Amino acid sequence: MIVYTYIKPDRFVAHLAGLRKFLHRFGRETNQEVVVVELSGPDGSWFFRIKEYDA
Amino acid sequence: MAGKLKITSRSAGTIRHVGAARRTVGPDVIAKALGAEAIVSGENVHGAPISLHALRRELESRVRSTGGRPALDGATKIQKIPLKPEDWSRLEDLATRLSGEGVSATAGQVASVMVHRQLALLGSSAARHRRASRRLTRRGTGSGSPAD
Repeated sequence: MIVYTYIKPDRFVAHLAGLRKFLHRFGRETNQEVVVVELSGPDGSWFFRIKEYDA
Repeated sequence: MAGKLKITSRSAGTIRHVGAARRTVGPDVIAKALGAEAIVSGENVHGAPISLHALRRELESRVRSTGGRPALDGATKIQKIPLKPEDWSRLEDLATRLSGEGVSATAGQVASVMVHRQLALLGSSAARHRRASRRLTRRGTGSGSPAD
């Protein structure tokens, strides 16, 4: 499953805790081996791999 | 012969930026906040599902129906490029897979998009490397400003 969206940087940073909660819950409850977040911008792009989920 | 020019007007003074400063958040901070295990620069990720997603996205936006065979927008130069047979087979497999997902593209168009993306990444990587080298050089000579 891929969710693709544009973000407003300030709001993104403000909601990182909520995003973490969602990503970890998604990985845990759908039994994903890995959940990946990609951020792309003018300075490049980064992958964030989540393999161990919060309880 | 003309004499030496002398500037007699006052200097314009320093320009100050008085707007709100935008906070910069690095990838390491985001990784920690997300509980992520590793940060991998997009340039170093090969074969990850997201790369196929990016490929699909670009083909979707660039393949145009022209009445005949759909053309890849902007790809006007037709070149013979030597390829390994197995690479061409993989490109054909990719094109078939993408077609099955609703993105009609030939193996050549898939190759064109991949080459374009890699060249763009190479360009941005080289630019970042040049910027970093300049910063290091300035720090080494002590002429850098605190904002660097």
